[in-house]
Amino acid sequence: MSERNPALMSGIPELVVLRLLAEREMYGYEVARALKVVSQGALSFGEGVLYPALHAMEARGLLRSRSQLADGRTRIYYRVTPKGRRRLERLTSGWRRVSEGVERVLGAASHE
Amino acid sequence: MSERRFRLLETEMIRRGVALRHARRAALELEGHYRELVDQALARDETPEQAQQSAHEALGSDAVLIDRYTREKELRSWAYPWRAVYLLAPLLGFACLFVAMMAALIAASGRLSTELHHVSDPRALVHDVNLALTVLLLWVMPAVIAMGVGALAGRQHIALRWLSAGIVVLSIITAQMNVRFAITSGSPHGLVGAGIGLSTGHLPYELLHVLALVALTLIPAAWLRRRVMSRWLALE
Repeated sequence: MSERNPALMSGIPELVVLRLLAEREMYGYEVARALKVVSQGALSFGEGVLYPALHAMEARGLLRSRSQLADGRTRIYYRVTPKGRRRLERLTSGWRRVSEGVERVLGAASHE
Repeated sequence: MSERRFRLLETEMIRRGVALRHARRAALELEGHYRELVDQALARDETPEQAQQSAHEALGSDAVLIDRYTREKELRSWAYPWRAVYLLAPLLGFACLFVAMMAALIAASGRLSTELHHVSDPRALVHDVNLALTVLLLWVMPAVIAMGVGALAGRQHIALRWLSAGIVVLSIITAQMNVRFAITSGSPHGLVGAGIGLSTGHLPYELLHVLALVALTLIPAAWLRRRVMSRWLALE
């Protein structure tokens, strides 16, 4: 099942990060804040674990980064590449299928 | 305190096989993130101690961070599974440089053979060239290669035992080598040749030679490795 619906098992961080970065370029701290705000705290985790995910996505060519000095600090900004956008589309449609399937099961179960 | 945490985190990541550039960037970004969290907490009127504490907690534990980094195969160092390559690296480096130097010497000698043949005191010249070659190829070059490998080992946080083993083997082999340069007659312009060979005679002398070479190569290489590694942990 995880092979047919990877978003269900392990693709969630990748999916939400790609979705946020598809809107605009952000650096790690901004991504963490946006995740917290948009998910209303539903997606909570140690904020540091965002970075291995970002770095791995960049290594796979889904993101591109650039560094910028701001207030004496170096910030690494990430943006989604065309390959990342295609991956986002696949993950989104996969997640929607799973989510609708779960909703249907939950709805059917509540009517029994 | 915070700077120390990120330096140690970076070092530990490298030791656990995370590629240098990813470990370096992780430390940079995590430290930046930490400072933003501290600023945010201070803006909420937390004390500096509380702000630092809450920022560290928000980032998550080092063990989890290191685990996540080492799990991502794209972020792993290519060298980590090949630490034993440091056993062979000094030898391979020496072999490549030695062959290159000999080729350059033979090429240069071929061009200068006519001039060399007319030198008034060829024996003195041969002696000087032999001395220079021996010092350069069998003393200076192993030391330079060992230092280069030592610096690389420091960057990769490779254990000293791999580096030491490679350098000792290199020292034993180079101590057994000799280089000879000669001007010979027999052709219209004479011949210039160079050769290498192994010598097993005079064992006490050979042993002393090995020990001197080990000291000459291992000590600076180990020092350089330690210096490169300690730069990661250098704290204000």
